Amino acid sequence: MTASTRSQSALGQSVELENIRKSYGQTEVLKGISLHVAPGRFCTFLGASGSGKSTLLKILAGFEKPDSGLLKIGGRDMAGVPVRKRNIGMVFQNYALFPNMNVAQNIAFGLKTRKLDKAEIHRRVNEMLEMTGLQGLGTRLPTELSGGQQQRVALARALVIRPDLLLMDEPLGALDRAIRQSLQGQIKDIQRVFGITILFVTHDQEEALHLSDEIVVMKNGTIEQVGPPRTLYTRPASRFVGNFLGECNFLHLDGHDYAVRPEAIATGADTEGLDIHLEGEIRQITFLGPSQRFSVSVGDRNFTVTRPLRPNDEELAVGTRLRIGFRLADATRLASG
Amino acid sequence: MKWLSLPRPGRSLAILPMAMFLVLFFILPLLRLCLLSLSDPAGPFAAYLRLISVPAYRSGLLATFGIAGMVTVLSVVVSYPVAYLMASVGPRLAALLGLCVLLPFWTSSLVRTTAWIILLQRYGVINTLLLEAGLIRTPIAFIYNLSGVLIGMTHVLMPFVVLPLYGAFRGLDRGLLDAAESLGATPFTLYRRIILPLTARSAFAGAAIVFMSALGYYVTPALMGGARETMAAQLIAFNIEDQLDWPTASALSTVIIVVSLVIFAAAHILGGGKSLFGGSAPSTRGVSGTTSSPRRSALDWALATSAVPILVFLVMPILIIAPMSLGSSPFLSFPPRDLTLHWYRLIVTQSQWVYALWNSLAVAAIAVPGASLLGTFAAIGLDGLRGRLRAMTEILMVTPIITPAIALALGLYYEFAPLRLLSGHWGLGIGHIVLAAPLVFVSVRTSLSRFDPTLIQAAQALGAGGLRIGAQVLLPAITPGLAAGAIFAFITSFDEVIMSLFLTNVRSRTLPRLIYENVSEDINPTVAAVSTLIVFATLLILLMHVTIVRRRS
Ligand SMILES: Nc1ncnc2c1ncn2[C@@H]1O[C@H](COP(=O)(O)OP(=O)(O)O)[C@@H](O)[C@H]1O
Ligand SMILES: [Mg+2]
Repeated sequence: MTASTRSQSALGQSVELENIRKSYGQTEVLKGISLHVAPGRFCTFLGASGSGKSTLLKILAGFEKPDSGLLKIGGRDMAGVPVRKRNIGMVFQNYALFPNMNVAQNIAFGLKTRKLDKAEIHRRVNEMLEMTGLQGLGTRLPTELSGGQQQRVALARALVIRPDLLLMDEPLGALDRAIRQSLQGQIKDIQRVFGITILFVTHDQEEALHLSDEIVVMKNGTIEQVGPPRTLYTRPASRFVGNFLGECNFLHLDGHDYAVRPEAIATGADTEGLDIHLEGEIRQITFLGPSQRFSVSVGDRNFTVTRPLRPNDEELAVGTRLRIGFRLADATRLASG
Repeated sequence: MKWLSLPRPGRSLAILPMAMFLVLFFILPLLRLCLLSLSDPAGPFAAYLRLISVPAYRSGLLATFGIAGMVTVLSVVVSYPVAYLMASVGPRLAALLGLCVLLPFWTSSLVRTTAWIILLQRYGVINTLLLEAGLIRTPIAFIYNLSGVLIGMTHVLMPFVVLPLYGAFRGLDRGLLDAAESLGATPFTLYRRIILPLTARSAFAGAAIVFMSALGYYVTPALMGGARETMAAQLIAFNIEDQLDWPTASALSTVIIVVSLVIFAAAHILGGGKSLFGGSAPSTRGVSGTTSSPRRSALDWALATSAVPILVFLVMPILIIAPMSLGSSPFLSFPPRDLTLHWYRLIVTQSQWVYALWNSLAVAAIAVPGASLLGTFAAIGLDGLRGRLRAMTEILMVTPIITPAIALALGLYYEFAPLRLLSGHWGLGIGHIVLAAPLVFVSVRTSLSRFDPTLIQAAQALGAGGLRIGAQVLLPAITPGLAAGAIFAFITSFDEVIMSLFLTNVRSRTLPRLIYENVSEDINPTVAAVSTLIVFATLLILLMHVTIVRRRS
């Protein structure tokens, strides 16, 4: 990736959604989505399959019309603007590369529709091949590329038109873990270089945590919570978010529900001086590598506790009693049950 | 092309041209026939009562169903060994065997019938050989009786069973057979409990097509059968040409149409709602398990060996026609002596052959582009429909394939004769579009089923309009299907006899009609020469088709 080829000119545009609703027949798939994404942000939609993420992206791209609500890109109302006039880059999960065109022709497609002159198309295609590390592959057909390479062609094709907004629907879902991680890095770099606004859909919470400036957690067509990854992880607003991002313990104290992450719970001697103390029996121990996870039953409740693994730690066995505890400040009070 | 960027319901408009064409030139003429059958001066059902009460019609209908049934059973029985052998040999040999099945399949049925007559007539090739070998004293009557009809029709129709059956055998999971063997199954049990049940559905689908086609058969029974093998199509033609009895002819047509539709519906339902023409042709793509196995039971050997005479049966008429066309004897005696190109020179000098070829090409020039356009647009438009409406449309689009051509010929004749459409090429051209557009539709739809619709969205997002999407994204995807469909349409039009008999006259008659007229009078070497040329043309076209199919996968 040669970051010098382009200045830090912010291409990105803002996105505003106001009370977007969409039904297919009887089922309401989007139930009033409102959201503001600032220019140049990396915003991820995270949610279980069927929660309406793809539908929302299709509405943004213009493939679907919302039943009601307002959609603005760069402050411009998009109602009635057809897909091809929206200047949006889109990366599909299956890449959707044109099988009858080679890599360079695929990338040039969007420039030809914009009727750029030949020399300019050539220059920009080459620049893009270089930026995405595809030099020398311009004359290959999509079927002659690996999955990761196809993904980069799809990315190059979407970016070369200098879109106001880049939409990506589970773009890495079909790739191996190693390739996925390297591409995550590339996408992040590109976003920094282009200053582009990216709306990214995934159901992989780890991917969302790695990439995003902002995560939108969706559930059954509604937004459950919006915020930066750290906030969402440490301060889940609901049981749903707590469970969806990592593991979480929930408990009822003084008439309120609280969420505590397993790593915020200390064990044994480390519990000295903490606000809350409990004692229970170890039911299960899982070795995770860098850490260990204990399942501890306290009365009729179960707590999940992770503890960094220090070589010198005494080895605990299933069935032994264990003291656990945490600071009240490390627990998050949930709005409702 | 704006409809391409339209949402689904808009895209479905592309179905309309073909749908309207079929309503106008397929449904309405057939409905008219139905009404005609009720218009007998003696009362609304008099024509149908006549079919039962007049012995000639009664026995004709019985012969029709009987022969169709026998041909169907024969086709299935002889197809099993061939399909088994094709699936169990290596890819090269399988390709060669495939050619043995496909070449006759693609060759004009009229050419094949001609060849059979040359082979089987009283002093034809086979009788000559048997006499000279001293095996018989007097020639055997192979043709102008039931055996002639069965041989001719089975030869023409059995590939419809072989091809799906071959696909089923290739799809058989070798692991299943291994599992059964490990559980102690004998070879016989293996066939009875596993192989037959797993291939039965394909055999049944092929059998349904054979039976429906056989019901409306005209050429083979007329040329190779005797009086007792007079089938419905001949009765229909007789009623129109000699008796001008429209109500009876229409009643006969209605009966075979209805029976065909009932069988089609039954096959559709038994096939789990899948149209008989829904699947693609058997592919040559790699498969996980073929039935080829180092250990072969005696039963396997028996099956494979019995395929050999059947394959000879398939290719013999195609191979015999070329040498026979070179003999100088005007009686096509065997073996051909004093080799000469005389008969080929006759074709060129007798203007009737040149005219007939010109007429055939002119009709194809209407039918192929017409069928290609209508079929392609309809296949694209089908994507715009969902659920029941889609299923119904799909069935409508393929119904002309299973409708007996004689009935359609009759219906169009009734409509076109008063319009004076028979002396030119348009009447027959329209008829051939009805027959061929469904073939293009099926072929393009198969291509489209592998087309990823997000490609259209990707192109839209990149700023492409409908025209560009159509030309650069959609067209390349359907080109192989379109080309294969167009070739199929050409062969169909170029080979078609029955409609030509009704929808042309002496001036506008096509090559198949002229061959038919020649063969039905007295078979002569010129016909053999013409047939030879057609076989070579077919071979060329077949090679073209194979290349396209290769490229597609
Ligand atoms: N074209 C459609 N017609 C009918 N229902 C649809 C259509 N597209 C999506 N849905 C339904 O809308 C819901 C949300 O789908 P989607 O947006 O694809 O979810 P996600 O991308 O989060 O998995 C699902 O229940 C799905 O079945
Ligand atoms: Mg989705």
